[in-house]
Amino acid sequence: MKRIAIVGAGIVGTTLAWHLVKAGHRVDLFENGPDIPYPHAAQFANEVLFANHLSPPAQSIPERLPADIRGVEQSGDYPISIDGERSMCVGGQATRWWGITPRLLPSSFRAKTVQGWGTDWPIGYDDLEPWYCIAERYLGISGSDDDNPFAPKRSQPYPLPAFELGAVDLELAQRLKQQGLLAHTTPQARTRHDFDGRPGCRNYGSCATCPIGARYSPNHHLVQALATGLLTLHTKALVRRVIVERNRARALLVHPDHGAASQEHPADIIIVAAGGLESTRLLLLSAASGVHRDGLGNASGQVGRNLGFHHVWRGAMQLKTRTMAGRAGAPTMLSHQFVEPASPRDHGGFSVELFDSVPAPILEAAASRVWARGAQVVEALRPVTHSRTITFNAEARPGPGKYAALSKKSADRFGDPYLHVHYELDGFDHATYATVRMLESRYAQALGAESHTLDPIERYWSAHHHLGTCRMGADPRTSVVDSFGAVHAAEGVYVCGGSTFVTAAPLQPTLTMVALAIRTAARIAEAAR
Amino acid sequence: MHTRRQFVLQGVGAAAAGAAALPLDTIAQSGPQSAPVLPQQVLRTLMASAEVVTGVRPLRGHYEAYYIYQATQRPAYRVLYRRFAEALSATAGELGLGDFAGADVRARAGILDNLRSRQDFSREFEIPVIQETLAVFARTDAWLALGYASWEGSARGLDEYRRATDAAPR
Repeated sequence: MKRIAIVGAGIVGTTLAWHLVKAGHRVDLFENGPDIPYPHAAQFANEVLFANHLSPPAQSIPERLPADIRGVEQSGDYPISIDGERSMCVGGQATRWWGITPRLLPSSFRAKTVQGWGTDWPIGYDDLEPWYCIAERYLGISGSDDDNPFAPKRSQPYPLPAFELGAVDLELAQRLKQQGLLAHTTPQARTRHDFDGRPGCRNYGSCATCPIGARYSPNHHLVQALATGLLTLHTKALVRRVIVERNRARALLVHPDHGAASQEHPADIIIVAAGGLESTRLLLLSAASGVHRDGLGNASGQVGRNLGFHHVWRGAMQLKTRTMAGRAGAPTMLSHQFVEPASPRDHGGFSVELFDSVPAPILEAAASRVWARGAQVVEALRPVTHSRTITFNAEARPGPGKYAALSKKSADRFGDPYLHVHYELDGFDHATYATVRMLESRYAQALGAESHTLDPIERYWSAHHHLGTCRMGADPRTSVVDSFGAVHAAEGVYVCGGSTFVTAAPLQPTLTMVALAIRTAARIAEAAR
Repeated sequence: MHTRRQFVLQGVGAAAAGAAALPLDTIAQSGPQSAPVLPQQVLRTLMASAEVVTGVRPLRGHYEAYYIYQATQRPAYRVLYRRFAEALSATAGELGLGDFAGADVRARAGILDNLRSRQDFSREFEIPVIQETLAVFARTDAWLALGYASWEGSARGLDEYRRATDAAPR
């Protein structure tokens, strides 16, 4: 039996591990960060129950890795610390996510053909559709396409019914419809009822940090995989190199407990699933002789290029309607109407989220004051009762101003250069924002907003989606991996995750990442027998 | 369908459930052998002070849970809370009121307002005690005052948000 090692215990790494273990394989899973308690009650206590802007938790969960282990550089105009967007722990970023899980559209895989820019994926929607079904069951997705005319065709229904729109959602949706704006339910990795050992959602209203496991967390399956005895989890294990010999996987170079001592962990199959940024860094650090001299899998020079974030802009509206925002708090109403603009086009598509959550500006304004009595706090929060959040989640196009490369200036405790991320908006993004702004006004008008605001373009957010840096393709001259994540000219080495995306459609990527991981696991499970 | 009271109780239950889980299992005052993280008298004074600044009477347990959580996470808060309680009790004693926590709410408000106007007291306690208490209020009882049935962080169930807001409790 082949020895399989996975680098990264986030949602992709654990998905691979669980499916490989289920197929009877032994797997070693390496995670740079620590394990954290699951279900995430402790995280919930810190971040929701006892959250206090005046006194952040004394002990963050996960504990933060030392700067000389986790460092990253950034330049360009991205306004947020990229360092803080990597949740280095068992379960990774999916221990803290909203669980929004749409499928990509058929056109998402054919950017060049449909839109005239970018590159087509080496697989299409129809290739991935059966894997989407498996992934939806694996994650326990609640959803429905009955009210979403923009959803792609599916061969199986969602495993769980959708979370219904709220009373206010329905009222607002009706008004939007009268103005030609369609809204629908949101597919989400949150249990509408008990499912697969997870309890049904009880609406704690803080999906990003769920205390009971209703919102999917990778730790759910990890616990099961560990119970089989076939999976070995190595936490706080820094993988410095993927070692190949004669273009074949041979071992990982690992520093247990981040210590000075290193050891080689032999493996016949190595899967790098460490996120869009750390996977890139590991490949670049793992340069070998021959075609891999500029980085493992980097004969094409594509490792680190084609970086794509999602560009999220948030807005807030004050309505005449009594909305009582935040009664669900979780994702409710969504629109995919503008995901796929008419072609040819010079701007990106975007999804529109009209979730039943409290606009951050109201909370921020209330938090910025010093109060004498509670009655003043209540008055400061009163606008919440007539507010609505609107969020635009836009696609980005790869370009020369968006890349990741090894730093020339700084290095970690072992002397390995940090990753340097450069990201700046381009003309395409400005055109997208102009369209977003226009549409935001249209929404506000349709809903009869008394006032409304939208983040300025420079205040964009990636949604922690770092895509495209090890993109897939059939041609080794223009890509890093094939559609299964197999690194070109490196037998037994794979990359899995959002880094292999060819384009960043304006839809949350996690379901697609998991579907691709399950597809890859099936391929490896079969080949490794 | 749930009544407002059921929702509130669920919320308190959720808070208690959260409090029972880590990290509160390590901070709990329970454990027959272990000393409480905060003496009862200090907690009583904190709660009596919280009643004054929030305007909520009687307070539910989430304020107490918060103080215990802070005292456990940051040992400096144990000292801070003790000194805060001492300052209030000393003033109450000087005024012949006995125990601060035992004084009526008007007397407590007078003591607290007077102390908050003093720079030395304010510098030490205004943010970490008074304003933090109001921050707890801002994400809990303030929502009830606005007409919500409960607040984020409590198990609110999947019915209430689907009711028309006109039907929502005020």
